[in-house]
Amino acid sequence: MLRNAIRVPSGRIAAVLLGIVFFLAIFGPVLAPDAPNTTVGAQLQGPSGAHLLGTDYVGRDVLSRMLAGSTLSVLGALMVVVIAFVVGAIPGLLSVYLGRAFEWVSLRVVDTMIALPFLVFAVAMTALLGNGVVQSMFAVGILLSPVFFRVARSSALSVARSQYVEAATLSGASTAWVMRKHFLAKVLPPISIALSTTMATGLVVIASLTFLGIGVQPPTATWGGILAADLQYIAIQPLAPLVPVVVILAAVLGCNLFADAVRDVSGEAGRQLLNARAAKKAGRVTRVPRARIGLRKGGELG
Amino acid sequence: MKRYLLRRPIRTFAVSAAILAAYVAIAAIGGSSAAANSALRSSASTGTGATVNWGYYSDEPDWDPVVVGATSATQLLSLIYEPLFTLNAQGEIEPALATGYKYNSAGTAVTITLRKGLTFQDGSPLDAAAVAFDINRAKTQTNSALTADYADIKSETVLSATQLRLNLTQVDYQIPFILANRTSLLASEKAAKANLAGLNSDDPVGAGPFKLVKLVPDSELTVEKWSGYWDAKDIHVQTVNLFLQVNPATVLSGLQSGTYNFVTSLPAQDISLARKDGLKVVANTAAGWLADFLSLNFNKAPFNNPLVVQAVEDAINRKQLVSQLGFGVATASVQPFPTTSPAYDPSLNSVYSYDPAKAKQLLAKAGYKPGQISVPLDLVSSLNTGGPELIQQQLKAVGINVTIVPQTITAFYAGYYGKTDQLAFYGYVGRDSKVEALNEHYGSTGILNLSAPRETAQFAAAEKKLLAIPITAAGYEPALKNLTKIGVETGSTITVYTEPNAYATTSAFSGFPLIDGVFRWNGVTVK
Repeated sequence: MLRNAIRVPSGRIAAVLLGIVFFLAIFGPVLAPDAPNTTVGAQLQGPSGAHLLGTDYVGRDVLSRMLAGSTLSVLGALMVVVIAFVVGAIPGLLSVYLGRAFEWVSLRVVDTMIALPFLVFAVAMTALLGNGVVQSMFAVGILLSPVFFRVARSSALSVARSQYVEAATLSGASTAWVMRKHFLAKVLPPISIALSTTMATGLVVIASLTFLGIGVQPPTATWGGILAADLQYIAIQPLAPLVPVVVILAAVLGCNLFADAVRDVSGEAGRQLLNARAAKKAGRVTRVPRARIGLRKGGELG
Repeated sequence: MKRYLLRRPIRTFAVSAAILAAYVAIAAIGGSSAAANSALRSSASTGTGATVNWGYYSDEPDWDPVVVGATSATQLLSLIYEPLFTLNAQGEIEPALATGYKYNSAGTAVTITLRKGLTFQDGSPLDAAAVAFDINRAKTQTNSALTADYADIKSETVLSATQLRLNLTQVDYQIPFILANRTSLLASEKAAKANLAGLNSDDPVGAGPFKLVKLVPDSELTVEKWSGYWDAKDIHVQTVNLFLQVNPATVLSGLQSGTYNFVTSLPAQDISLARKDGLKVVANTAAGWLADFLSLNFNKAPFNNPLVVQAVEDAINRKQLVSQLGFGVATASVQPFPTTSPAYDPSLNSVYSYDPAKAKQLLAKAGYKPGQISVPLDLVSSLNTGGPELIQQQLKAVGINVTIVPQTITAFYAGYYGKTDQLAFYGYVGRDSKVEALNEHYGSTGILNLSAPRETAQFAAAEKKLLAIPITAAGYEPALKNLTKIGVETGSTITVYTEPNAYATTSAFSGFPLIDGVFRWNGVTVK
């Protein structure tokens, strides 16, 4: 599926963007030219040879902070995705199989979670568990888990009622075998889409929480934290917020494009799409320029 | 097909690019919008009938002056409430609801004389009995923030409708300052008896220049000129709309666009920009100021070791803090007063100097290896963390690891007022009584004294001596400076810098009288 995803243009763009993001997440701190938490010059300086992206409100090198902040920003988003997946997708699948009682309870819990306001819940959780990265990501992950629950459950429901699953069950196949053989293939594509969109949401939420002073604490750099600080001094350095905005936007765009690509290459429509592309590539399909198909009123096509 | 697959990404890119382009364009033209906005700014009408739209950075959940803890809120409360006395630009006592005071020969009782015929905004009489009721409320009400301020008032005797004698527990010539501005804003006795909770939450009733029209908690307040105010003829503003919780990053644009014509607590970084834009900015410590400081808890390790405390003092580079963060308006200071305060003691400036090498030696002498000390630094999350972050770097340079712990204001107060924090970063705006200010930093009941109830005998003796000197006597100011010196040298507050608490108005404003921390609306006009 991943291999197919990068065969479409949106997938290739996503691969480039996400490749850069993950490269920064892994090597960013090493590439930082200055210590990210140390004052190296006057405050709020514009870009210069010494500091390519200028300095922040304490006189720290912004480029170094952006690079150093990549790891925590991306890791935080990944943590959100993992928590949301574990808490949402597994119960979503089980709700189809573990009987009506579990189904009823899990659906009510999910309905309740959907009703909870995002940031307020995160603030309450950090007030309860303490203000830290893990606590805030845990809160956000739990609140995003209904997405996975619903995606996994709806996919599982469509498969569970299919004739081939019934046939397999009647033939004596175990539940584990049925799930592995039939379910995963059907459920994984929509979950992959949910994973990438949740990753994008996670990046934005971490930025929002850091903006509110929740989660990552100063002087630790994150993209959201840098953006929040830049906005406080926007009257002096109006272009400074552009840097974190562009990086966050690129990462979110990469995730969303990847989700689009996975959707486009999944299922029957995806197979047809890829076959058509392969046929075109092999020269079996010829594009006819300016072709017109006329149809009179009351006529039929086909 | 390819075109179909690319349609969505292209659209997404196009929208993103358009947003970015718009942002760049707005940012580029943002700085030169002064002329275009000048017409919008002067939306207020001329003289009497003028409207003030006031942008205020914070929220104010409490409106009963007895309950309100933050001294900075005096600026807001002074709309609705009036004090017994106020101060002039020299910090001297001036009449307000009271026309004067007189001590007995022993200095153990003071008689206050009120103006005749005063009433509160609900029509109830504002007489000596009402003042006595309010003072008693401040002394005894469970949620009073003023109990410590009135500790020296033993009892009140109503001599007549306009005369009230305050009987003191000890000689205390500071009482007129306690009865000035913040601590003597009088609330209606009738309103307090009818609905004390309502007085605090949504129905404040005082005797100030303006009367409440509308109060939307957490959001806004509207007041209108009250004709029963004792100096109503001198109030030329008809309506004040107060907008709470205004984002500090937006106040300047709010002024430029005409959303507000009056903004307080203008961020230091906006001061020069506002001036360039033709706005009137008052950034003068005589009109209001802030002092930022570290509070150390001497009752907790490692700060129970005087060598560590001295090391912290030597590690703090105040000049770097000011040059790096002060935007040209902050002043390095070791004492919790600006140079314009009568309590400011210039002799202290030479006592403390930045000496990291000495700090390292002191830590080694105290038995601590580099990096061995790790302490949390508690602070309020809504405050700018620039100062704490720089202090963190400075302390790290001498081997003290500090973890910054931003907290909600409620959580912060629990640890700070509860004296459970080891180390905290906080600020204050001073007090009308300088003795009270020093007491709060260094006294046994001081709310800003993280080491309370610790108070040195030296400080207690100097304070007692000061209280026995009339505030107009020649020896008063030297004794006050001496108390500052003792407090700074023996207390657990390490002040790092002071800065003006700036405010900005449109050019239509005539300006406020220069009174430390208070906006007196008498005589203010808005053209």
